[in-house]
Amino acid sequence: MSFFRQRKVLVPGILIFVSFLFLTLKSTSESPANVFISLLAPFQSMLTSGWNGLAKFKEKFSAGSDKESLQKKINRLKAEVTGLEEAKLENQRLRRLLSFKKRKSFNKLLAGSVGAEVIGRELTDWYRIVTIDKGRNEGIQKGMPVITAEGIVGYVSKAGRDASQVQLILDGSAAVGGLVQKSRENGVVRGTGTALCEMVYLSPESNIRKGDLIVSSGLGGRYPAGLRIGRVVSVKGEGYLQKAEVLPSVDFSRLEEVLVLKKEGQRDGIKD
Amino acid sequence: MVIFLWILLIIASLVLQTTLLSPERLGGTRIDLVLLLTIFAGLYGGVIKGGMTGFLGGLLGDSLSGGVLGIGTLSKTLVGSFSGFVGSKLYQKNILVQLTVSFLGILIHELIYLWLMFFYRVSLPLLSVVVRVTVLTVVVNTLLAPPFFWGIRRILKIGDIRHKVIKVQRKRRKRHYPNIRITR
Repeated sequence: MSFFRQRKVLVPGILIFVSFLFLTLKSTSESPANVFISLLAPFQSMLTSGWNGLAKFKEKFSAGSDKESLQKKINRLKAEVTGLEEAKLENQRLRRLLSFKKRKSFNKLLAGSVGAEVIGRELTDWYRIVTIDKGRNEGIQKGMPVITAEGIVGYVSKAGRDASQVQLILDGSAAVGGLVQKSRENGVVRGTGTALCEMVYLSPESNIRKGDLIVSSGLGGRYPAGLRIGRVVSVKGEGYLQKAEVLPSVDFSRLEEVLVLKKEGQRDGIKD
Repeated sequence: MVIFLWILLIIASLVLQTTLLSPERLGGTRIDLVLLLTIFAGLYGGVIKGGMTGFLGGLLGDSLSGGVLGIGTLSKTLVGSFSGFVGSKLYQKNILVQLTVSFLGILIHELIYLWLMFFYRVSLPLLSVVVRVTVLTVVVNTLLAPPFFWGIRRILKIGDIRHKVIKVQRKRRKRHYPNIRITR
């Protein structure tokens, strides 16, 4: 009986001691974590794709009734695309005229990328991460930037065999070198743990305004230059304390597919 | 058999939490199934079971969350041991007991977790956001605890072969000795 009584104190005591040990070692335990990420990936993938399939089916079912309004939308978008094509051709002509030195093209950058599906989300409220269904087997390595057509998503923080974890730019410890597209002012866009990021370290003379588009500057080496980060929604403070709240271009609540950029292509950026 | 079922329950909780029950899908509300499982293990199984479930669930959760390893492990082990200690002194099936122990367990967990994050200088959002998220988490998970405990009890009953054997034995005894009343 006394053994059992002792055990009731001893076992939790040992477990608490081991937990403290993990904390004091400040262990990041890369390999066991990576193994566990890969281990859970098939189940996460199964559940997520099942759920997404159901949602798509529901969408398709309800789409029939909205056919007419969608047709109108398509016509409007077609007209917009034609306009954009014109603008693209004009842009190309002007660039040739200005004899822009052609840097590594966007297509080249994308050629070295791996498409991946988001299969898991964060476990706690305090870290902003997602799990993707591609890992070291597909050549993904820790530190690689992750993007979508809308802009920067984050970078690979852990690479497992068949799955990886991506730290989003919303995470409190995330930071991206940012540039105000219009005025070319530099700063750092960092995550706040909420749905908004903030741009800090702006120059005191900065005239950053609401609605300004922020793109990556390429400084820091992690992200290629010229990728969209987001738009300024408000500017606070003055002088050196000035900071801007940035709404990311990527809708993180609807993140389904992403592109992981392989390191070879990221040095020169996409400003061709 | 039961140990495997427990491990399976922890893993299933983690998978559900990171997919269908992620805060994004639930409008920012986080349902911590692993924490509820830890409180359940303590309440119904005692200090050792609670502590072990908390330790394992916390460790696996830490490796998935991408944060400092040990924060979730320590906070969940403490909560599992606490609920085991309290559960051994109270009638666990009472819904008020379940609600009170869950409320205290979740609150203790959140406070320890946040304190450790603060201690290890993990960047947190503004205080107002932290308070809002914590209050929401405590309230939602406390209210979810009784139906969750009921569900887990049903699952464990299905998985527990001993329980099935006892049930068959009782039926047999009842058939042979219909006048004898069997009490637990």
